[in-house]
Amino acid sequence: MANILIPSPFRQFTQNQAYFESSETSIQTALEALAQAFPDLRQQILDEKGHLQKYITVFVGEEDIQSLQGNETPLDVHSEVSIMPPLRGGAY
Amino acid sequence: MHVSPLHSKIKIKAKVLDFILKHAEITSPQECCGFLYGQVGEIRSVQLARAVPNSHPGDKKVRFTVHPKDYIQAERFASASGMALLGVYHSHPRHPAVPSEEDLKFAHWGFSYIIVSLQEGISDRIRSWFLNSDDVFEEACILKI
Repeated sequence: MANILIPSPFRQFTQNQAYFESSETSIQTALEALAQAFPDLRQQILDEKGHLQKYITVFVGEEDIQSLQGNETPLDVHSEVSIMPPLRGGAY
Repeated sequence: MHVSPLHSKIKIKAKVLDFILKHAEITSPQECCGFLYGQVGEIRSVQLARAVPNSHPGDKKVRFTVHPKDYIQAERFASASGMALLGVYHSHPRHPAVPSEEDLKFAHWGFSYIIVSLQEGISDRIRSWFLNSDDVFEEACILKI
């Protein structure tokens, strides 16, 4: 099963669960399964069309899915998926 | 929805405060950034700070960005160490230690945000903030331990 890391700020939507295991075989279907399991998390990661939210970055292992096959990036039982919201800011 | 309690006070080890202040000075005139680790209790307690590079592609004097790979490593470190990832710190080399519009735009509920201001490269204020349920920053009183 692919293992999906839930970032700390999103664990308020997952009953503080840090990881989610999925038997889905692509990023798109795994994220859908995650959103289905935790409906309050959906709008944090997916837009109304089911696409990845603009500011969210997803990694499989050490690779950004944008450098792989995007939402169609395949997953296997060894896949480590990380969903990362932006951490940035500034002086004004 | 499960909501973790956040409080108006935050305990921070003296050596952690010192580390953050020095990081801000070493990095000045650019903004520094890093992660806060510790325990979530009645009052959250910061026991460790770890610096990460400011990977903002533009002007680092007024912006900071944590690279997603550094963020992933921070989450993994927290899991492995048994500590909670409590938030981030950064500096405002030429602005007050108050969250900006840019800080608010990318803020996450549940995280603590420590900001250091500097005067001519020397740290002068360090303040801690959190986003309340109305999406407004509130200050948390720092208790040095």
